[in-house]
Amino acid sequence: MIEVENLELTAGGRTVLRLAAWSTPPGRHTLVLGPSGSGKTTLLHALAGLRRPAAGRILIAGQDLSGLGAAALDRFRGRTIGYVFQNLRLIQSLSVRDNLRLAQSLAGQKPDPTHIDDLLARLQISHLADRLPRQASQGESQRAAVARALAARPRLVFADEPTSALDDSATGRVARLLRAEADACGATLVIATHDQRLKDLFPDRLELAAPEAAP
Amino acid sequence: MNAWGLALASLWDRRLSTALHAVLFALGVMAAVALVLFTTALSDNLSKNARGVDLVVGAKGSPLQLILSSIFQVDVPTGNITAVDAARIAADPLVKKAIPLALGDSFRGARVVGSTHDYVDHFGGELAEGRMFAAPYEAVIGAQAQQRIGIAVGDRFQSAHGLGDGGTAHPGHETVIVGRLKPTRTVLDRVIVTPVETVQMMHAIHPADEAESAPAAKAGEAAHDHAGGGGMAHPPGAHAEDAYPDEVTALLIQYRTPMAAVRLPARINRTTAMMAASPALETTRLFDLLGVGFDLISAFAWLLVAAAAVSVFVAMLQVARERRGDVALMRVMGASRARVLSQILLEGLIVAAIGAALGVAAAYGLMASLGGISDQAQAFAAGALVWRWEIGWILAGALAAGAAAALAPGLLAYRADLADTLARA
Repeated sequence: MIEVENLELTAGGRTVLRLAAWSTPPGRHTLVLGPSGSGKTTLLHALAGLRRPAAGRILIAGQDLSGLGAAALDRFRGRTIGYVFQNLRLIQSLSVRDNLRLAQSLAGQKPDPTHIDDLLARLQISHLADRLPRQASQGESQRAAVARALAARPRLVFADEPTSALDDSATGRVARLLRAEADACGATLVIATHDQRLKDLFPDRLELAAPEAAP
Repeated sequence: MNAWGLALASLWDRRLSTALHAVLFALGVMAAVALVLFTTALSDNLSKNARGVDLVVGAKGSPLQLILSSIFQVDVPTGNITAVDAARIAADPLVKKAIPLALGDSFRGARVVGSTHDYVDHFGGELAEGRMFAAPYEAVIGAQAQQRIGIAVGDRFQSAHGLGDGGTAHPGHETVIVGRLKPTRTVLDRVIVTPVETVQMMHAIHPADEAESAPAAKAGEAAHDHAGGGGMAHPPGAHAEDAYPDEVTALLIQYRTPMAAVRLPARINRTTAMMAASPALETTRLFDLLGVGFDLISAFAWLLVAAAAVSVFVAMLQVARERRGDVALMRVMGASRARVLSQILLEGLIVAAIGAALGVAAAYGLMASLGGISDQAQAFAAGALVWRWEIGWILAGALAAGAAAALAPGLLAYRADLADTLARA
């Protein structure tokens, strides 16, 4: 699902991450584990085509990202990747349902209300469908963000520090939820985190070194 | 959830500021549209009513006043001229047609115009009911005046001295309405037409009486000599016939040849006690006088539109900053740079469009209510409730202002570095 060769990522002229070779097969959920500054977020951005690598190749679902123009890359990302942010980023002027609809629309898909209803029901937030995100609790918002990441039926779901603000029990719940939902939608999950508590849940891991130790 | 839905949701989310900006746009558009409606209606009405009248001859005074009172039936007449003088002008070989007017009376706000059938024919008047007047103390009434007053064919009325409401009635002199005219969309709709003799016999045309409703300066006392001793009112019991002075107020003249335009006005103004005024020249002069005011209103209208655009600009800039995260999120979800730019432009356009629609509606409402303010406003603004192509330009201008206001915030979103924004916000 993800193939990386001789990847070099820079930020502000400084090399942030080097990755000689890494790949994950479809359906194998992966943890990108490392301390802050180790380049986890930068890697996720590069994998999502949000930043161009300084060197190397990235293939997502067989598609070489460097072969796509700016607009084509945007389209590809919208269709292929769902993203869960640490701070959720639900659009506050839209209802929860409309947040999900927007994801489908921006991915260039036809509206699929059945899928949206299914997601909301499975995540137990059907009652929030027509409410604004600010009327939801933190846990409900978290689930809404997961639902939105899956609304456009992506093949990959990236989650950036989804649990760093949560206590132990919530962490386990959110991680299991992400995994279950990714499975239910047939998506491959990649979680970038420094949270060692997730280690036990994900056997497949890419461990990144702290910045000082980076070559 | 398409671009429209997202834009509307975002505008609704900050509805107070959206409403404020829309109202600002509306005020500017309303002023600009109302001005276009009013000036075009005014110039239409002036030219339509003045059509076919090459020259107006009346008593000396302000030429503009003579035109306004004789053709448009607003303002007071400048005074009277003798029937002998009038007949001499009418018989001039340069004159093709001369329509006499005897003015000064009114009935419930509708002016009574003493004239001939020519006056009705001149405006293309046709009977809707009854017949044309054939003798003194018979009259036909214009469509709009009839509707407003509610008088019917066969009814009798006593006209009042003076042109406003509250003039003294002429006791004992009743005029009968013998016909009702079809609407002509000219001044004819607002008046009651009767033979010249009705007005002459009703009372000696009293320039001094006209001075009642006009500043004294407008009617020179010395120039006139009439029965009644220059008094402000009829002596009690006096019959108008006793004081028949053989005067008319003005002549509407049509030239026989273009040459007349050069010779006739100059001759009348130089060699007689009368004044000749050209409707074309005077209405042009009127527009020159009003033009400064119109330009000011127009500048003010566009200032309002610009203020609306600036306020939208400031608000959108702030929104674009606050919603950097939303924009980045949209990009992550597959929106291109062009899509987020157009999203923000769309919001600016929607605000401007709401404002423009409100403004146009308000402008037409304003014009419609003008008729209720005064008969004169109605006279000038009649026919204002039509679409004018200039309004299209105003709408385009307002929309362009809305889009321009949103352009800079839109470009901010367009250029934003995604990875940076996501890392920071």
